[in-house]
Amino acid sequence: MGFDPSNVQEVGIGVAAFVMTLTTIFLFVSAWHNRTARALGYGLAALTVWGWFGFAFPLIADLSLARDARLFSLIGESVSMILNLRFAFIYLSEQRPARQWERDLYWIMQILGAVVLVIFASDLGSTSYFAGAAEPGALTLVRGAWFSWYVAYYFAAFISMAVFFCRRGAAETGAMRRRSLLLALGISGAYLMGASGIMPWYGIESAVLALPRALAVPMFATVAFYLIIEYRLFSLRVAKAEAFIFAIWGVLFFRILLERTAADLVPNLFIFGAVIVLGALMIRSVMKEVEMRIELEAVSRKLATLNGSLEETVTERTKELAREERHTELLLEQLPAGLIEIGADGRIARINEAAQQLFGAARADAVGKRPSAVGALASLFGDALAARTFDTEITSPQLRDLRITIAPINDGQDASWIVIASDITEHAALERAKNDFVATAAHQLRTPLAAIRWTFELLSDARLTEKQREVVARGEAGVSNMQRIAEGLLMSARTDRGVIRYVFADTDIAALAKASIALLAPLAAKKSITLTDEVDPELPHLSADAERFRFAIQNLVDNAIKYTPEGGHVTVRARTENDALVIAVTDTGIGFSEEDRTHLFEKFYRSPRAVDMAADGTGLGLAIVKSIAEAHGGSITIDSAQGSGSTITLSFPLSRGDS
Amino acid sequence: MADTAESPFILVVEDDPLLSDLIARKFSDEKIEMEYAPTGEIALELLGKERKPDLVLLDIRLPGIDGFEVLRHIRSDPATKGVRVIIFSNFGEDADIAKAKELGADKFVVKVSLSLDEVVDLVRSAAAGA
Repeated sequence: MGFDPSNVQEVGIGVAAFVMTLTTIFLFVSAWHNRTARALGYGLAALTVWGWFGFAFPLIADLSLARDARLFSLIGESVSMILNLRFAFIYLSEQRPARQWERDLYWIMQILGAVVLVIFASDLGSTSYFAGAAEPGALTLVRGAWFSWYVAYYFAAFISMAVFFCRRGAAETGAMRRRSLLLALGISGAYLMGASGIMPWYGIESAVLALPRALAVPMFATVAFYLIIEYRLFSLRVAKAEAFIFAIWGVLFFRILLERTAADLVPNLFIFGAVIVLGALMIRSVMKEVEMRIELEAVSRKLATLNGSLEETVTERTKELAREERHTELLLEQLPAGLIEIGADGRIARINEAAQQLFGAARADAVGKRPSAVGALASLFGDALAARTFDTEITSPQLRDLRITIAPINDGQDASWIVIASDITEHAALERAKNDFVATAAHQLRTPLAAIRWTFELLSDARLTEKQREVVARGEAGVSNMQRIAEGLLMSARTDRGVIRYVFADTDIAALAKASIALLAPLAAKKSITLTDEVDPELPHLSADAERFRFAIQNLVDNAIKYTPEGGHVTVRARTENDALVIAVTDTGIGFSEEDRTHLFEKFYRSPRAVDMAADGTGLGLAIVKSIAEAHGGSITIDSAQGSGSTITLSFPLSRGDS
Repeated sequence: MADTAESPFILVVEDDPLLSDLIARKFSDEKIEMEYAPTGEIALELLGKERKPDLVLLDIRLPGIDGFEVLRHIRSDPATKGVRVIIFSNFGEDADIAKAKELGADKFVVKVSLSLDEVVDLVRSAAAGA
């Protein structure tokens, strides 16, 4: 006995067992996660056991031990039969759900296989159902009484395996089906052909069995190769590691084969086993690493794609923003009003087309400079900004009338200013024409008014009857009313035309106020109105135009009397308050509504209730009083509620420097 | 001019015949002697006569040379330099008033603001103040 390298069958079984071992190991290592591959792996493992026992028994010197090795080999074959059937069924049900008869067939074959296994195992205890009694002095097994049952199961299992594979369904593509068929028939065929090799163990020798026996190993090698491709057992990425492991295994394996003494054989077998396990672990770890790298590469590709799309989005948004910015820029640039932006640093940040034209200032000369440093703007803005005059009218160097509005823009950090210049030349021209017309008309009216007035005066001096006197008195009243209206119109037009020249002089405001009260006392008395003088006689003097100042106070008191019902009260207070001279006229009259207050200082505005009460007002008085107050550096405020009287207050700062 | 206190002699320069007529009636009632000139040229002619008025009531808007021109002549002629002049106009803009003062007018009065009685008082006191 012993290994004979010249015995082709023995070498073939050895190579087959070796390849099966490697295939099984790589299948488990590389495709453990795949259920079908795992099932195939179990079948191959059992086949490997069968192969190694088949290879080992000629090497065993003891005849009864060799015979036992043959029996173990046959048991391994039975196990592999059961496991391959299982693989076939799993493979089928992965393609499509198994039918009931297929399930039934599967379970029948599994139960029969278990029975065969039990019977074979019992033969190890010399029951001799399959193997029969040992022939003295010979390795050949005697066929037991039930041996034909074993052979029958063997073929039945092969046929049912073929059925499962052939009926695997049409769920996958044609190429996939062909591959599956090749795999199934290849394994089954090689299995069947290899099994024919056990016949001679029972003394059944036939030339017919010799051929498939010879083809079994090449056929299995083909199927194994296919498995390697199908499950990528040899990934190119781990090829180097696998080739290295293979080389070690090969060297060790053939060392074992050529070992002549059992003492050397045992440690070498241990080393071989250990190297197989370590090699498998190594390949597995290399594969894991490779998988991780592949995953990383995929992630990296994904990131690159994401990055690309992000860049695209950013580019798109940037373009959109640029478009919006251009649009805003265009709007500001082509605004039909002059626009100048003055930054928080006090320098011009922007000047649009209209502003350049209105002020005759070129952009290049203006941007980045202070308005006071730009010739065309210096005189216009220097004063306005310094004085915080936010709404003013000026005439530009191009002789255009401009309304300048200066507004702060606060973005939460630094305040900048926006200056808007609207061309109101036409509007101003119309306004001037209107004022000129009003002034001329009022002047022209004065002469006939004087004539009528004087005529009535002469008439009243004549000897008249009571009735005639009454008529003349009415005429005089009408004329004086008309005269008042004309004077109001004239005053208003003068204010607007800016032709009033205030003549400021040191003025005793207290005396002036008291005189005005005294002058109007008879009018109040006529309406039974209590006119109270609360003027502080110690009031400081003011630099004022006495005549206009008197007009303002008289107008307020006159109004108060006019719009206070009979029996009411009018109080004139004048005192110093918080470094200001304050003159307040309070009445118990009709008061002002919310609506009135918004229009009160507009020329010709008269509240409906005021019209009801005194039809002859002009609606000019308060507008004129306001302009007089402002000319004196003062202000006018109104505190009132409709129906509960009102207080009109004039306030003049005492620290005014231009006296 | 002792008699001026009782009966002042006034030159009224007024282009509006209605107004001048009304003034003439009133002055006549009040025994105020007056001469009347409807234009500046006539006014200057009257001023050139031997007898000078105690007071000139001078309108500004006149056909031909205006009141300011008349005033300038009065003040530049040594013979009339001392005559009192009251500008008696319905155009009482601040600029007019300032100009009148500058040219040497004694007073500026807006016609329509006075009654005829007030005009008489004004004339009497102005003439008496001379």
